Amino acid sequence: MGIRSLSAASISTGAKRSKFWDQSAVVFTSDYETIASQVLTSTTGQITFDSIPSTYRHLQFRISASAATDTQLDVTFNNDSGSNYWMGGFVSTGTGNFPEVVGNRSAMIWEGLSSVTNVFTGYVVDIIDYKETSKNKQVRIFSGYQDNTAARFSIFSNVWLNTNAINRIDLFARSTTFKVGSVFSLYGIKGA
Amino acid sequence: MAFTYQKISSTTLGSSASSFTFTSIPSTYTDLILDIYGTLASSEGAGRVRVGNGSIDTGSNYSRAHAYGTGGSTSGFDRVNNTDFGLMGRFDTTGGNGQTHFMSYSDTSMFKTWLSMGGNKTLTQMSVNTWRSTSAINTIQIYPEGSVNWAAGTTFTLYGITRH
Repeated sequence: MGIRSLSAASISTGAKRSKFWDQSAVVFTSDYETIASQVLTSTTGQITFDSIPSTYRHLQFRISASAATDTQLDVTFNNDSGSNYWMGGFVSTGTGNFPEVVGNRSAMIWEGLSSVTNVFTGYVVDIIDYKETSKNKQVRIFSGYQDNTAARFSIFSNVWLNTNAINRIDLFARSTTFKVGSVFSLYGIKGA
Repeated sequence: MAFTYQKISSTTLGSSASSFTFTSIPSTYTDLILDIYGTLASSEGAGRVRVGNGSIDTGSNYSRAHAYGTGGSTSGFDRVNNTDFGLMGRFDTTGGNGQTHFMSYSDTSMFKTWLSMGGNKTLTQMSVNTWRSTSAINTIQIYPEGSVNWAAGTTFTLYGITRH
């Protein structure tokens, strides 16, 4: 759409001028953008984010999820179900603290889905340099729930032993289903 | 123009105060992030948080679990039906920090879960907390444990993240 300005000058002499300004799009950009988001309206055991654009530097998941039974959240990248996932971290129940290192797994584990009514585990997950083909993929996870009878919260630093750019992420409620109302949001973070 | 990650409010104390409260938090975001950088006027301890809808909930509607390390040891505890959220970061007279993620803070289909971590020069902590209410959070109060004051210069910043 353009904006046309009609000058009143020289109307009386017959020399009419007009100036047409092209609308120069003023684009407001952000370095932190929503890529995709899903809020479950029915139960399912698997959530997929695919065709992830390569235009960001890092990815971040922000999740509020619950499951039909207490379980773990398993994650794969690019449909890789080989023994290529390692996890190292620290799990706490409040009354006990447990360091963990787990390797050669067929999926990455993101700790602790609760099944208690109205209790949704929070996850803040950073996937660093997700498109860099010179690096294995580092994933930092901060997650937890406290359901008034038990708590489980953790920080983990995990790795997918693969240098391919990530373009698909699948999330599974192990051996069960995610509850209605669970929220899965993927954000892109720009960088150099 | 609404950005995905946006500052809602930021305040730096001009004088010491026993607490700080955010009010009228809009419900238009998906998650909130609260950052505190500051000091205590005296002593050493955690930041404590209460939340509410319209007014601060002082009832026995919070649960929390907490783990911390001091370099030489780790410990933690689990609290249910406790009035205090407690444990947002760790502070002393030389400084400290805390960051809390309020997940789905305005979603009325779930209790409110938030994750917190932070520390000072001698202690680092992380915690998970639940406000057992499905009401949207629109007010947040932060106060130091031990009935001490926040020192002047302490900064409280609230960000909103929007799932577009």
